[in-house]
Amino acid sequence: MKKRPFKERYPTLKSFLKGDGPCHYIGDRYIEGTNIYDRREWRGVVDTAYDFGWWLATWLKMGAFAAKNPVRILRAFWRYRWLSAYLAAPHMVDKWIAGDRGLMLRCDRHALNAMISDTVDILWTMIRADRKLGKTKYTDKTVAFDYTLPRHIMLGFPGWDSVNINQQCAFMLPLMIKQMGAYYIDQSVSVGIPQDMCTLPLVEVGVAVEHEYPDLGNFWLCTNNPCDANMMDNAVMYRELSDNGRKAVHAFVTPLMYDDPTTKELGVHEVCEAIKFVEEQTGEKFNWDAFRDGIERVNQVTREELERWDIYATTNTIGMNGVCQGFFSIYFYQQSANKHFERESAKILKLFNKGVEKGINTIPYARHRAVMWSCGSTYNCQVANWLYTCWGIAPIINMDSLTGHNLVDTEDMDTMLSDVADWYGRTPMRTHTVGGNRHILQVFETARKFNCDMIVMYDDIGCKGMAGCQGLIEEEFRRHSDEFKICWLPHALMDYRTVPPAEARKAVNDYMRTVLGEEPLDPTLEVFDDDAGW
Amino acid sequence: MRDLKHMIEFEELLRSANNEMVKAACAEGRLALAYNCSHIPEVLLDVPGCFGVRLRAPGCVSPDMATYYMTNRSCPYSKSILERAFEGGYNFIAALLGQECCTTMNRMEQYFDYCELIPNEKFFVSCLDMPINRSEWHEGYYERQLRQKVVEPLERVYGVDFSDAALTAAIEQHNELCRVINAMGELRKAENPVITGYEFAVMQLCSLTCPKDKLLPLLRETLEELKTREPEPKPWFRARVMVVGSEIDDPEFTKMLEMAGAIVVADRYCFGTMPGREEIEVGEGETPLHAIARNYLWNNHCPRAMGPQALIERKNYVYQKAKEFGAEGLIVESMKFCEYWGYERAQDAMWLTEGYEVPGTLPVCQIERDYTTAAAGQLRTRFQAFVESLEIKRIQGAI
Repeated sequence: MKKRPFKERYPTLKSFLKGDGPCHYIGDRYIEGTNIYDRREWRGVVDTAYDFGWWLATWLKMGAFAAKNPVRILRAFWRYRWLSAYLAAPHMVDKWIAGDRGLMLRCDRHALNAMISDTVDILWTMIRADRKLGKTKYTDKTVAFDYTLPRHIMLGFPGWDSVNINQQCAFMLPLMIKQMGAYYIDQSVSVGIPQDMCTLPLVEVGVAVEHEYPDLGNFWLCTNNPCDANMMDNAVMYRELSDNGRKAVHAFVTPLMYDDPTTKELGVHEVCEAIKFVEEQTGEKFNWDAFRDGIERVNQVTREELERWDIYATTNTIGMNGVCQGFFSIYFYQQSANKHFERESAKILKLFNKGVEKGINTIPYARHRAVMWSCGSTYNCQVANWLYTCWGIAPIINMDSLTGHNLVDTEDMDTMLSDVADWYGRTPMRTHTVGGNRHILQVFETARKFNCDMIVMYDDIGCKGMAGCQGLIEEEFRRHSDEFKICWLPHALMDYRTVPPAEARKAVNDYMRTVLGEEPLDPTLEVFDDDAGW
Repeated sequence: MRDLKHMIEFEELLRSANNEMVKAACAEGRLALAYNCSHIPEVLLDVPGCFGVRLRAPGCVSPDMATYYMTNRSCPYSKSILERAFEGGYNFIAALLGQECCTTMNRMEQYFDYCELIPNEKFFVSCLDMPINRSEWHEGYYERQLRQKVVEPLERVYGVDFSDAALTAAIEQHNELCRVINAMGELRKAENPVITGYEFAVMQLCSLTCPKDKLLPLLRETLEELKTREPEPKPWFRARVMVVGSEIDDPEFTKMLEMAGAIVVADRYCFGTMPGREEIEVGEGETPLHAIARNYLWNNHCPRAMGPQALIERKNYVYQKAKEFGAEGLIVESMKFCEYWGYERAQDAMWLTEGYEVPGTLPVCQIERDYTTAAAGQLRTRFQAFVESLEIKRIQGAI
């Protein structure tokens, strides 16, 4: 920890006890050259204790996971390189709640609790069913979905487990250890796939190249969601995920022009075909009642999410920070009805409402309310918190939080199928990036709705869809420059080497200093070296 | 071999999208209907009063404006087309029929609208949603998409006649063109062919970019000429190859490959004949539009078709065509930044060299290329090395 006089950090006893103030000197806490704390963030007496309790709970959950079957889990650690990333999960949590205080800390902790609890469940679901670790009674009863394919149809097959197989094995890795994504990207490139593609499918393929996907179930559902690159990685992973053709594979596709009325029939047809495929493979009839019940449960969480949107839009009670809000929403979208999300979503909404009642401002030092648009980074997802702690830019809503929020009418089967088809077409990273340029340009409408004065535009260097409309965005930004302050935030989704976090921060620093002429709230965060960090 | 009588004329036609035949057809009051992708049935655009033009941007080496709009990380084919549109190279077109795949191409097509690139008040861009899966149901869906996104807008804006009689006439013309082109293509199977890959590529490209009724007489005559053409006393090439991959609309690519000692005997790439030159059969009781949809759905081997059946089928298609045309090796190419072919190329190379899900193995040379043959030196070296490796394999009896 860098030496800084106590008086400078906490001018009054009250500020120490509450851990409050515009500047948290978070950069002082990092071990030199990393983004790893040398001691926990001081958030005041109550919040530090609260956070520490949850931090211990995270370890307890991980311990409980290991205790389920220590030998099998040890073998899994030996077999799968990616699994080791989860040992850094507590650090990931620290990154995601940096700067959180009071209500926001509580809401984010509840959101994280849902995600961690569910991740532990899914990891165990995969490991216990994995043939590579020995066949069990679960092996044949577990179904693999592509990571970008929501598993809602499995609500109609009670008694069957399902997992988004690339989510835990690939997507989540750089969230915990940024170097982990790069390793698997190199594996993809080693078999001839160009490195200039979107890096998320490259990581997924890299895991397949290393034969590191668990071998579970007897069939697999792939998809064209959300984009061309992910569609093609499904093709390249065919051998690995179908176990050289021994497992049945079904392409559960969704229309690219998902909100064009002429494509509606395709969406519905593909949902029905996917259900039919699962029926054939499982030998079980689709249970419409169970499906309807499950969808109702999903609807409830969606309603709660929509209520939170209203609060985001009209108040400063922004109960969840930019990172937790985005991932909570995306994660739930993939998982469908799920006890952890249902429980925590209700609690979070309760906290939100309480905050509104009391008029709590969770972003007291905000200079700007920002909408975060386009696909965000994984290895640098915490940059959303940095925007607030360093520059007072409060992310109010993320583009990918605004996906899959349509309520499903469960009154009759046809309407339900139609709404579910809509749902499948509105995937994260897709709703606003395909189906016509008008979806991208919804950024302005969204910024107005959420009462934002700033747009932070992620620039994923590997995304071909967004690269193709760069000029359009530039021109539209100029047209709206009187209404919004607009800043680009570069990244390479899963590959920290291409756009290191420091470079992304520099782009914002330059904009804030030279264009807006502002000074940072926390100067220790403006420039720091975290190259060797996670 | 003696030069083909119309070869210079064919080459001239490829110098510009707005070539002499296109100009003549437009002067007759016919509508030039543009498209970019093999998912748009060209036959549908060749109904009476119209003709299809698959967009090319010959000689585009520096797409600066397009790079501003699409960055330097986008497909150079799409950017070159956009650049040429900014230059006014497509001012003659009446509509652009596109598709939401791939995304980059779709973005480029949307810029035609956004930047108001075509000085024609009636000009419009219409994009269809092409099915990814294939089945009888998808034939119907594809047909409905064609009706809603191609037929109805053209009827509404320009009063184009898409009656069954008009479509039947277009299919008949298309089938004749296919017969002529395929007859030329078949000549490549000979041990010492009377046609080069370059000549064939030039004529095939003309068939995609010129009004077919105007081109057909020249093609028919050339076919007759080829039937009596004397081959070289002994084969002039050192190896027979098949080219597989994404957009190649520059015959110079094939010429360079042939200058390196190979002959291109089969062309399985966008703008090639495999697939694309299959005759359309209208079944009994079937509407012509449905026959078109069925044909284009099942004969398209774009990597975007998903599922194991489509995946395995397209690898086998390559293998079988290579064997049928006597190709000793494959050049699998992808356009820089092409997501479909970037993955497909790597997978083709793996499956076909290993013989996975195909009856045998084939040597493969993978290349990544720009829209133009700007990196000609490097490519030539790669091709020469591949030709040499095929020769060595032949000497060793490996192929």
